[in-house]
Amino acid sequence: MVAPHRGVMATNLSLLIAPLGGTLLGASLTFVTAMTGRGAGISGMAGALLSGDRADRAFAAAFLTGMIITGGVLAAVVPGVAVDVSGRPSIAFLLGAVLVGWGARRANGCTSGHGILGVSRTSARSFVAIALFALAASIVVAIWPAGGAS
Amino acid sequence: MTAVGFVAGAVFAAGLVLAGATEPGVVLGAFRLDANWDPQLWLMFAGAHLVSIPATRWLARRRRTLRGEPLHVLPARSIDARLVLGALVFGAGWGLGGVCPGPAFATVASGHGFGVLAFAGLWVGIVLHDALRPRHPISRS
Repeated sequence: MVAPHRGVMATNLSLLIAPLGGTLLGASLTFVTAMTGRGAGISGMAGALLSGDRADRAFAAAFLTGMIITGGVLAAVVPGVAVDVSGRPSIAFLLGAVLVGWGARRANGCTSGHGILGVSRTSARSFVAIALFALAASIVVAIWPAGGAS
Repeated sequence: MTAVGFVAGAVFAAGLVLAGATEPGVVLGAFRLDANWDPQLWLMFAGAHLVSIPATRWLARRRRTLRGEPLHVLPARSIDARLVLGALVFGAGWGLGGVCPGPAFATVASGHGFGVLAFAGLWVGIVLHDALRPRHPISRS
């Protein structure tokens, strides 16, 4: 079965690979905590670039640079990776990301900070955060004119 | 430490790409409540928790980093209006474009337009918030 909104790995194989990719996310974030003593998600590191102390800023810059380069290299060598077949217009990506950036800073965490690290600490704030992330996202997807996605 | 950061960031981006989280359609599919509901994103989180929950517990017991320094303990904070508003705005944006901060960084150099747009928008949102942030001690964390 090939879902219409999927790009690369558009098979049920992707459902088997997804948890494997997830383990890398968990390993990366907890490795950062194990080395630096601080837990930080992606929006936290982006914020540290702007207002962190010198050490935090250098670490965040290295982490985010590693992300950007790896994402670029993988997209270049693995055809069809990170493609968009959602059918959303450009303005949805731009405006959506503005809201995501503002909201992540306001809520003091994003999908990684609250969704992975916070949940692992059984933080009540993080459980509330991810429930509200999912609630608001589901509402927007449901009322999107095209019926959710492509 | 910057080498550690770079490698951890590389692993994180590879995980996102592998899990399909860098594809907005996969992310948006996770929030569909119809026949096209896509569990891929939730399976990714399950995989992440499989590692992060035991690792976090082990670190909490150990109370020290791998280099022997004390672990920074986050101050206990209550569920407040800032969290609720921020999470709702975040979720609305997530449902609009299917891109959260991690994928924005992992796709900005992918050569696809949506990655550049999401990356630019993300920074606009972050700067908009941080520049207008009221001076309050609790906002430091």
